[in-house]
Amino acid sequence: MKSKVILIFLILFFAFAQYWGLVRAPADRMMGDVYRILFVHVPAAWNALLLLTVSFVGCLLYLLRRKEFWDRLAHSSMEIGLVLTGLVLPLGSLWAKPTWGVWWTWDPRLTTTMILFILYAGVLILRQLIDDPVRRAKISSAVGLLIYLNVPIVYLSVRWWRSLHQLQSSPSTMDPQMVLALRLNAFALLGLAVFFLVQRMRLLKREALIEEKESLPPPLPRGAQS
Amino acid sequence: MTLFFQQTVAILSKDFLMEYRDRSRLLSTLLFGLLLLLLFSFALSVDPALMRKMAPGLFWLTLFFASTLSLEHSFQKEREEGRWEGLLILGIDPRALFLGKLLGNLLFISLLQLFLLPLMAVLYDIQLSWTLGTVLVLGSLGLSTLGTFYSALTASLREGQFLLPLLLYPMLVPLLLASVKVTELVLARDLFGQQVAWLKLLIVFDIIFLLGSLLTAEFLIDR
Repeated sequence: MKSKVILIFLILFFAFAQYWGLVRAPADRMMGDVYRILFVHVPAAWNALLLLTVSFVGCLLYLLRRKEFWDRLAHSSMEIGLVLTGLVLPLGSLWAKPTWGVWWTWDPRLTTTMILFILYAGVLILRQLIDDPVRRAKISSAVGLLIYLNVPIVYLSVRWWRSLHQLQSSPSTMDPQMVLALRLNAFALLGLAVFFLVQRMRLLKREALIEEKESLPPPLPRGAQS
Repeated sequence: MTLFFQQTVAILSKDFLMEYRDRSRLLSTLLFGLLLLLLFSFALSVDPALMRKMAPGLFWLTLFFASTLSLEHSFQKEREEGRWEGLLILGIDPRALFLGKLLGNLLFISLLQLFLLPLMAVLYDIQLSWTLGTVLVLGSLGLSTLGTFYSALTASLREGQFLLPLLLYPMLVPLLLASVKVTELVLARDLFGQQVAWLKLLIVFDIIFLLGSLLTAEFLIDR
């Protein structure tokens, strides 16, 4: 019940932030209304990076502390981060076509995001293939660490290789209404992401309980000799 | 520490002996490499100038694909006939096991390269040089480090062999970019000395991946 109320509040807040971005913020001088996609693209990218960083911390702490909680945190944030990364790519393409004239370029950030997506999808598939929960947590934490460390390396190497992405705009060159809309949207999405994270972790905890129960021998039938 | 190296060498020589006595895997990998070189040139172009230009990329792709066959096998073979339990009963250091396997894979990949290079020179008309050798060693060190890591990981899974390329290839991207770039520069008789920067990058990658996988190897192997 409580979580439903929170969810409704978060959706309303998200709708409000979107309204601010789509209606209240002025059109861009060069790009017109097209730029408004940044109110979903940029928050999704920020939150994806944030969640993947959280999953890195989860992996690291699991290997150090061996508490299931950290593995659940790593797993849940990886899933949600992956969904957001999957959103960033098509949203960026939608913006790139009218602005750059192409759906895709081999720019470092685009390429890195794509590779990031494949890497994390791989870890989540890997999790499905390991039955023993302790082993699953240990192996996927080790891989999670390695993958996260690889991200900046991929980024730098592709950047050396070739480059074109739009540099970040600083808040001082943007209309204050735009900055406000962007921040509102980032927080709205963050709220939703954290909500999903908490729900997913609860679900994982219950799944683990069921798994544990099923792995126990069945109870003896009534009246049986023990 | 000496025990650690003794164990590493023992693993390496055991694997070497196994591969030497049953040469079918080495031979099939070499043939697969040759086949890939042919297929690439059929699929892409008959223009010699273009092939020469694409040669570095095709060489590294061929090496990646062909070595996946043997990387997969490097831990998989320990899963048969209770060998894994045997190794663990001997109380071998997981890192020594990992390092031994890594050196074995490096040796295997180097053999593959020695075989592919002359073929490449003939088929794609490129000039071989000694600088190229450095690049090849550095590139294959990175390839065998990450390859051994993921091979250790997927060998213990059911259906693991399907997962190896999916997990391994995206991790290899930086290595592929750097290796192809240096190879290109070396073949083009790099006049502006750009290759030094890329070589340094390649060395940095190797060190990072080697340390990273040695540190996490024990989580994959202790069981």
